[in-house]
Amino acid sequence: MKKDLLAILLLWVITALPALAQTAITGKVIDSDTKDALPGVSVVLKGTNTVAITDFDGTFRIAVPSAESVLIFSFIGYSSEEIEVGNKTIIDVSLDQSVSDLNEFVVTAFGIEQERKSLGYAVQVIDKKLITETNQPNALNALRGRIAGVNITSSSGAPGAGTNIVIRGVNSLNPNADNQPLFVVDGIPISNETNISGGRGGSNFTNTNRAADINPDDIESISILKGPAASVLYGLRASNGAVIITTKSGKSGKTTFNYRTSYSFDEVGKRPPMQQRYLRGFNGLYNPSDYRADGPPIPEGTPVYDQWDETFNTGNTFQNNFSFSGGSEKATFYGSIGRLDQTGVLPNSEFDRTNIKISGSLKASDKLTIDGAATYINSNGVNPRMGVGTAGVISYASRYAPDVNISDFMNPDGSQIRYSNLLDNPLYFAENAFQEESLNRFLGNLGATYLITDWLTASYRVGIDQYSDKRFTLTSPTTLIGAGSNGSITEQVIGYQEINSNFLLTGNRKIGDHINATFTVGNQLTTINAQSLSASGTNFVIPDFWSVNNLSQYSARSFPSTRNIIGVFADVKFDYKQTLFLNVTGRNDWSSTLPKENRSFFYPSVSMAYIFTETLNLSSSKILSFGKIRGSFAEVGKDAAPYLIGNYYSTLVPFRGIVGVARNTTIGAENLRPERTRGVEFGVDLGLFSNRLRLDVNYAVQTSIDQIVPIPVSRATGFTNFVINAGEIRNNIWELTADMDIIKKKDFTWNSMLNWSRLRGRVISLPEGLEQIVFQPETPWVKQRVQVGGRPGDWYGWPLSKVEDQSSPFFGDPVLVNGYPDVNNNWRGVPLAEDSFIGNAFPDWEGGWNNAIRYKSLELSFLFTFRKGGYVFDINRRLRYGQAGGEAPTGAETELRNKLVVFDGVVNTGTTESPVWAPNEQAVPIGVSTLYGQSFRYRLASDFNGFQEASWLRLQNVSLNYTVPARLLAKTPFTQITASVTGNNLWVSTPFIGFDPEQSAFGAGSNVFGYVGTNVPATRSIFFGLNFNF
Amino acid sequence: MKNTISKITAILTIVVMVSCDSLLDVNVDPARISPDQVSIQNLMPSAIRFSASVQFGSAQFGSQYPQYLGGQAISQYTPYGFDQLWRPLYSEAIPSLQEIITRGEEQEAFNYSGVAKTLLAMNLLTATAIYGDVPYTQANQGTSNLYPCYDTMQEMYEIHLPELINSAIEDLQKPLPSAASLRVVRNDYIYNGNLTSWLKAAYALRARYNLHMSEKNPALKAQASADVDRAFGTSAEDLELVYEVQIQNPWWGFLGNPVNKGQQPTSFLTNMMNGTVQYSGLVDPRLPIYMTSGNPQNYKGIVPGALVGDDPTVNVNLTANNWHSRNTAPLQMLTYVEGQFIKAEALLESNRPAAYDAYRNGIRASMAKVGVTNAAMETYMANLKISMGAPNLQLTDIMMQKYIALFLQMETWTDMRRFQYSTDIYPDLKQPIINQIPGGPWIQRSNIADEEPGTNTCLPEIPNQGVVLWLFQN
Repeated sequence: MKKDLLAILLLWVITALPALAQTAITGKVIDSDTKDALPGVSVVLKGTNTVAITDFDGTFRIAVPSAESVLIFSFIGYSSEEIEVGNKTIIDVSLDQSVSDLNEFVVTAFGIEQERKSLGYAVQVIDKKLITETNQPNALNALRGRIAGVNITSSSGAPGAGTNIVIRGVNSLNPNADNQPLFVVDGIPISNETNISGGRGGSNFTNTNRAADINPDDIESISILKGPAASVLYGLRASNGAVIITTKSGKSGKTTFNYRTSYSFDEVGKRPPMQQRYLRGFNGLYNPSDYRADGPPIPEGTPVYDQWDETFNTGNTFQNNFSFSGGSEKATFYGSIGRLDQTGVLPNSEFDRTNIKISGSLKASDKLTIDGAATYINSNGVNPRMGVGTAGVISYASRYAPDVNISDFMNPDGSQIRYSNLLDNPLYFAENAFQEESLNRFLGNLGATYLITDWLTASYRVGIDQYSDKRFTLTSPTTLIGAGSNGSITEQVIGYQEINSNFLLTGNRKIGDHINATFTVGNQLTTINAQSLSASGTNFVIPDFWSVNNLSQYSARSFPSTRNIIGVFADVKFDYKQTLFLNVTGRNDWSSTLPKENRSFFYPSVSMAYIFTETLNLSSSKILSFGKIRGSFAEVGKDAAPYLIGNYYSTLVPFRGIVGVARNTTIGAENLRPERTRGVEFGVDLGLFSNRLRLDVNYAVQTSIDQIVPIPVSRATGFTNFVINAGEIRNNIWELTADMDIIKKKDFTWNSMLNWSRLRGRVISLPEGLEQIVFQPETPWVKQRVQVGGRPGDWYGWPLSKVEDQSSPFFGDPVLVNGYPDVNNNWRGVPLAEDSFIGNAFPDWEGGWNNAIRYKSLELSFLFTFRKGGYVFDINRRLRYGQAGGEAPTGAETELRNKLVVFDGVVNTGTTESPVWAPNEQAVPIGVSTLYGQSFRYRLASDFNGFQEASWLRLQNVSLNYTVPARLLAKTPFTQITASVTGNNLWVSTPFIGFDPEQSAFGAGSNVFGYVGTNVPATRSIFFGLNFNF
Repeated sequence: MKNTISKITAILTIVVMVSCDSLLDVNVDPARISPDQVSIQNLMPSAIRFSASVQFGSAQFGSQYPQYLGGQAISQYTPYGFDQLWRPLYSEAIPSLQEIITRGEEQEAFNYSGVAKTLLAMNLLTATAIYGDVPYTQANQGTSNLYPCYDTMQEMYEIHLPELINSAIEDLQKPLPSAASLRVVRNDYIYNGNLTSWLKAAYALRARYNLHMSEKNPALKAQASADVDRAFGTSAEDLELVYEVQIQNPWWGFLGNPVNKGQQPTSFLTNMMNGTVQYSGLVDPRLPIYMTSGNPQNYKGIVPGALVGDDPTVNVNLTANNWHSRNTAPLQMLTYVEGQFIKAEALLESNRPAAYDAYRNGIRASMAKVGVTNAAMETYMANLKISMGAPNLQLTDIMMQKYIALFLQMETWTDMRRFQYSTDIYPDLKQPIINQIPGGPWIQRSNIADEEPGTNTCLPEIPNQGVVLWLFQN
């Protein structure tokens, strides 16, 4: 009996022993790269629910039953590791950062992080490394060429110049519209206004877009939400998409410091070719007071000047940034201070910016987290006047004959040496017609998250964006444009306050075994108050006293404006077995800028994603391990600018003591409706070859209806612009992204990423009674016209006359009159009002190709961007070959002169009504006054006057980094030192003759595309940089 | 839990509804004036300034057509749509003037409406003489007519202009309004509310109109002469806008200031005034007043069709010291001097002595206005080329002196086209040395305004600017 009991007891103990004999495993988890401890890593006993989390020093403790137990270590942004326990009791693990997994979590609306795989629409994320790698002072420029479907154009190479960003095409016909997306920083929308001096279409100075104020070193990542589906939760301000910027925040652990510095040399690369053959004068006769270069050939031994070399010099950009972050489990903090100093390639062209940021978060209790951030930005700049037209630094420089020394421009008494009454010296002009800008901006936000229950969270955030932008614009009376008014000065203060309040209630529930549901309801309030106060005047009293107090004719104007938006929204997300995802949202907005009966509008969206590889159980396949198809439909609305409705009168400047009143020339429809953009998109997301190749293909159709457009109307109506809901535009967009890890070894990696997009816009309808909308209607030989069936950005002009009779053997041949080419079918008396389609301002397709190669401590990356198609109009070109109205034949295209030529083509030996064509045999003299300056032979023809196709292949960025090996730093306070050399825009191949075709004469944020040639061209830069972590 | 949620939702909804209206009803611009705050008194000064802009705008580049100035491509007859006239006319002048007329008639302030009608008719007469067909009956209808069709020149001259001018004359003679604030035309830069002067101006305008229409109906010459007698009695009553030092005369801003010299007086004008061609041996004392020369012994103008800078020996310019381009110069619109020449031309066939007197009055008044001394004036007048006696007076004498007197006014271009640039009337008048119109005709009209083809679909077809306008067709 006793023996049996003992045996049973023993047996029992033996069998129970494993259960009781739990071994405690301890260890530490670190980052394999930085060797930092990793807190928050989850350590799971495989097959069970047993989990431990590493402490702030990376240590963990977990009980395991046997030596065969397997522990799984996983953490966001790192590759998971599975380790069999064996007979170890201490297990130290180092986890590798997984670059591809960084894209697994994407920040979407309101700072909510979602798993990329659950999204039914296309999103692209750019990591901080790529943002600072190119050393661009304007963070937007660093995104160029990296994001499919997104067109980023720098408006100019001048310091502080603004950048245009258009996502998935132009969806507004309004020439004043801002087709820019909504910018959101840490969940709060901020202003990206450019406040172009002179209004959109004014363009004398390339002002900065406000999103460029953000310090690139403060950015953790940027998510681009491209279509309405992505941005619907932000409401009507995001109808062009949204750029979600997440800034760096503190991490708990040891306090770390970072210092980065870089210095660059910037130069103008590509220039228009100029002739260096002919002296000043006209018609072959030398005339020293005629600036035109139509004199006799330059004799040997005469000094000849390259006017571009004389005008441009080397600019510099010097950036410094210092940041620190740290914290404990309860509180974290981050701070940074950055400084940028830049001198441009033209005289009197500078920019500096100081950024100070501090942020922190506090875990006040288990349920309540509070965080906040404050940023102060101060920037100052000065830039000379560029001008759309003949008064600007570049347009003056392009017209001086090669024998004139423009660097010698001052008389001893300080006045300008004037060779001609029609030109100012560009270097003198840069110092005497300019704008100084000084900006102070404060961004602040405060938010709290409260866990009401374990499945219900409430969060609230309030943010403020406040800036004051002071501008001082001067045109001296000694310049040609200032003389007529005896000088003018404007001092303007633009004030802006935007307050956003977001309240969200989020819940997460499991429904049944397989379905997970998340819902969010929220309310958003936005109030925007802007003011523009300016004092301007003309008529200098004392010639050199540059102050607004020195004018005898003043006007002071004050224009305040208010815009308030209230929104409520709901978002419901279901996922079935993490394989099938469905997302439904609805939002209703009320805007103060629309008439009362149209002020409220509702828009929904629905999106779906299906990870078919889960269903097919392919996740461990070596070929196709991840495949998702997705589709979405969404609608977003858009309101109007304030005060557009109806018609107003304004007072005029007082004259002889009396102030008159006159009607404004813009009138707004009384029943203005909100604009709507509807988007449908389909996409496929594939992970191939163990996720070494990630492919993303997306097709979207976006239709914008009821756009609010100030259409230009005939002046004979008494108005110049009529603001109505006009028309329907449809954009078809293809986007492709391929991301390959070509080589992935420990010491040698090569990642290559290609993105490509194709955009086609089409005008589907215009409102009744409206047949076309024309931009720049006053220049018949070049304009953009929007009409039904055409595309936004269609150019019309006057091409050379060609034989149009298809049955003729000479079909397509140039028509010559008196031996010379003919323009716009002038030979048959076509009215000058008629014009022909030339091309479209938007490219056929574009994209970028980036390669990052890392070998041990060296890293080389290079980015090519390419673009096919897209006609631009070089405003300045005619100035370089004409001979009237300020034009001067300085361009290389006028080198052929004083010769007899026989043009290829046919002449009409019959009548205008029944032409009879015969090959041309007439020899005619060509020169400036006989050919290049003749409007109907050459000067106004679209083949010569500035239209060109601007396709390009560009080496956007090359970067070489060297990271000092860690072992060398062991005895120093530094944890990492990196040295880098970067080149931006080093090489471009394009058929475009002129400056770099990437430019926007009308400034960032204007809706007028395709005009180039007047601004400082994009520069070629080489940066040297050092980065220290300690 | 459910209770809490529904409570929160209810509160949220209420908060939203209440704050809605106060937050959202903020769309009235506080910095601009709404239509009900506007009155004819404060529209009037704007309308007068705009009319001056229209008149200046017509001549700013257009004065190259009558060859007063030259030096730009427009003088070679490159396409030109007179935008400097079109824009102020339709965007500023017509809306203000028509609004004064409408409001004035409503309020029975016929003094205001009469003044506005006079100015409106003057501007329209200038415009139709330059463009031919112009929008009028369909113009200024705002959004209810986005594509205003043009009225033909014939309709303008035969129907609308006479109606407007006669209505102006009628209104200016109607009883004054009863409301005290409307009895005097306030803010009147030109005549300070003096309706008699405005009436004279209306007659001066009708005289000009009748002279134009006499192309089609010679009997109107007598009417023109009669209207001149009802118009200004001296140059002091001229319809002109005087500028101030702070807002300068537009000619100063354009050419008179020290820096901008984009156009220069032509050789046609300098030859007529420096005693070398038409008046051989007789130097016009107005010459140094009109322009400044680098060499006062030899005033050399720019050859019409040449560009500024082509010929370095050209030595004349408009400067701040010249009468027309001083900063406080008046911008002349309807003058006593013009009236005298209208009368001289009108009476030449029927009443030579009266024509001769008017002709000499015109010359004297023109000289006196620009400050020629009495001595110089008498010397000039004594010359037989000027005072040839009534029996010997010819049309060419009248028109040449009118040409000189109306320097920088576009009415001269209408004169030249009435005579189709005949060298019998304008000796030595030649086409510009480069004529860019196919076929090389004289310039006859303006092109359609540059912006119109882009915004208006109801346009007349104009093959080129060499096609003769209706008024000048015989």
